[in-house]
Amino acid sequence: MFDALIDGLFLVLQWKAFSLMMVGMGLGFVVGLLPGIGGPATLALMLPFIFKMSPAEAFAFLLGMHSVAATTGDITSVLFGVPGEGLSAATVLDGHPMAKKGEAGRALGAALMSSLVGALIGAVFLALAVPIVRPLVLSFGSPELFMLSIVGISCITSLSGLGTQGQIRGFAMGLLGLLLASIGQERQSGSLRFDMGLMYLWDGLDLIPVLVGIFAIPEVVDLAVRGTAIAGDRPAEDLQKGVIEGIKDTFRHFWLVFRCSAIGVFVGIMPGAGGGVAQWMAYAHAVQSAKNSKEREGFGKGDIRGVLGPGAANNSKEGGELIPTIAFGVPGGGAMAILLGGFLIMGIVPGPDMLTKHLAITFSMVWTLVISNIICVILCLGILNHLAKITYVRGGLIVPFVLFLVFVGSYTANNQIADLIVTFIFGFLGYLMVLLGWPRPPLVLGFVLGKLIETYLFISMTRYGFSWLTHPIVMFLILLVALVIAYPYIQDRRLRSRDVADA
Amino acid sequence: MRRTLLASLLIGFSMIPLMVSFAGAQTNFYEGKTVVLVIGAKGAGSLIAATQIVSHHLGKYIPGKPAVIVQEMPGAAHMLATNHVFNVAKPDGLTILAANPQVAVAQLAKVEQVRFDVRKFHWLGSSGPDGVALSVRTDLPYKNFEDIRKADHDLIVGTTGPGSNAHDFPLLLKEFAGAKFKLVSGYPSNGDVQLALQRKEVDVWAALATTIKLAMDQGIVRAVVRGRVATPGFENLPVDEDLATSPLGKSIMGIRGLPLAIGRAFAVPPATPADRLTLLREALAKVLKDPEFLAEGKKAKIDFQYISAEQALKDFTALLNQTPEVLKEMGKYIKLEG
Repeated sequence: MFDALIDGLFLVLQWKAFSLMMVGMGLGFVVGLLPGIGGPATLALMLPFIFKMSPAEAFAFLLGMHSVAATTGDITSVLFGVPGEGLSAATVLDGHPMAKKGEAGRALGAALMSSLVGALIGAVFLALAVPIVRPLVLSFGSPELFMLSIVGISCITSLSGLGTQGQIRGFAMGLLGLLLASIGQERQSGSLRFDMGLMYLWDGLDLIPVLVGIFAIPEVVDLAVRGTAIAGDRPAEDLQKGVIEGIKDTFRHFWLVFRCSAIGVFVGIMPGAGGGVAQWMAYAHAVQSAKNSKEREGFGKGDIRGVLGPGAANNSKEGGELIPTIAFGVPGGGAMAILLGGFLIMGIVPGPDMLTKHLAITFSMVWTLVISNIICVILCLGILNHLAKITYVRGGLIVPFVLFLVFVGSYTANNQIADLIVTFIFGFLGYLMVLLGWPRPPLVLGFVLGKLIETYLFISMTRYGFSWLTHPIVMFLILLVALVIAYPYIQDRRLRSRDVADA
Repeated sequence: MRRTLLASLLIGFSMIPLMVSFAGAQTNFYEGKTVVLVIGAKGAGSLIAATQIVSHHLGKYIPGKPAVIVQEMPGAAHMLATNHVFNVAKPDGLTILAANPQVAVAQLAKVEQVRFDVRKFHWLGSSGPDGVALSVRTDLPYKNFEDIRKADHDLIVGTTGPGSNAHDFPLLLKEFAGAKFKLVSGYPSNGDVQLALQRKEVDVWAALATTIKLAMDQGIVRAVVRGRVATPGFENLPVDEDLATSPLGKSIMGIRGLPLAIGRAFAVPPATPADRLTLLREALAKVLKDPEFLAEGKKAKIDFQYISAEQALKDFTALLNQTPEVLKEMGKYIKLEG
């Protein structure tokens, strides 16, 4: 295996593969800054260019582009509150409030460094997991994947506000998310639900216009109404110092970054679990790390840990998602589905051989993720100061630019005008939610997980009846769900008692 | 006589500049332009890969050598893209639909949202038919279809949902050929069904023969039945229509198999100028003979085979020409996939 690891590195370091990776990175950097036009759309555009390349060159090119787009996607999330990548919206929650507080530099430094550390930890995990990954993945059948989705949805307790009202609102939004996920053609019988006679809705709502609408539009409206710069009328921060501070934060909270990276890899590895949920689980885990109720309430208002957790999971999941894609032909996400198309063109058959006979190619992909992230972060750190200055530019100049990015990003989801309408509708909904103090993350989590929950529950019941409830992993996950749901209440009591003691 | 000959020659020669100017006009038309291949799907899949490979070579055979790109427009089982090319795209020879012929079944079933008529599209031809096959896990004792008929319990079939090959092919074998199957539908993709086979959650899987072949190479499944189109390597398997125990079953299986026989077809909107249509048809035919193109197809494990525009139109017309009785029965078993 060690030989394959080294061979994989050399495959990437060959001048042609390396040059192509750099070209891919350049493209990824540009599109990463355009909200919504994340990895998948760019990868699809670039597929025709790989015909003349060898597999190692093609994947260096494609993955270099994708991983950089995933990393730089965090930049727009922090600066404008617009999710740069469809699935990386969790960074918005605390990253953008930091920018509003005049800490854009610190948030960007933390997002990028945690992304890098996440990618590295993810790669190490992957390398170590190769011998056991096949039995691990095969031990997770439909019942286990259903329960894993339930673990994900149980994170709503941590993503909602404290107290009874906060929890009720969180669950209500989670249920709304589940309901929205049920729009479109049902997989089991093929019947249409809530399609309103529109073909656009046959495949359900697309995640990107929903996310961009729900998070970006309220920020744009807020900025337009305030009429000030994103950072308000605060005096400019010492940006250089802020970026360095953000980097230091990553290591101050290294254990959290480590755990969130592990969450990203694990969720990414599970075929069908959907890497999109990894960031939200990581964010929920970061929230759980609050030491007292004051700290807990600070999440969503600009806590650095709310940036570090999703940042770390964002890139570690990229490595994790490679596994089901290359070893089982089940793409972990939109970008991986395009990559699978690249496999077909290159004549590579996903399967167990990719973990044995072609392990070097697999490792070359992991190395690409690592190397491109290192280069990207180093280059980005050099320009972060300039990027962060945008938060001090007058709102009137920024709003048209951000709106342009928002609509281009939404439109590229499916190249349909309906995407823009969905963005508007969810923008309005998002604005109302912000205005009335209803949490947005539970809605997203319910929406992302809704289809998975329904699919795997139906398959489990049809295939096993009720006997799946006795599967050992299912039983363990039921306990885990109970723990995740109970944790905020336990934490709440503990925090209160600590607050009393402090007082 | 001599005078007639002279006159013919004169007329003939006088046509030359016209012909040159016609060819020149087409060269000029496509020069510096971009031809868009619209496909109603996104992500991975042999249809997308095949379209990418065609797009890689099509431009060099169109006078003026335009750029050719693939635009993904997913939605409603390819119907969004088909409606778009039929109704919205300009009929200027710059927009081509990379069609999924299954949309004709939607037209046959009179689905409300159908805003096209496959008989009115100008077909350019097809890059090859798709064969379908049904397979069983190799660790199970069922070697052929007769074993499946005689099984002492229902075998679990993993499917991606009604309207897909994975679902409809085994469903018709269950209803009309006596296969002992229990269908578990809803797997997100064929890759997920294949994974479920490996963890022994399902026993049987149907898909495009090229996809089944890859799983066979890994020792996961063995093929036992095929559809009407014989993909190389599957010729000796029994055909589903021959296993049907009733004429009705045989006709429904036949209707279901027709779009697969048309395969990966290309079309331009009605009212596309005839001269551009001819150029595009010729270009597609040339691409399908290009050695470099065929080598790329071989690398991607996709079998390409030229099917003419006339043949595609003939098959579509035959597909839509069904009696109300057959249609009514068919509606009970075949649905559309989203």
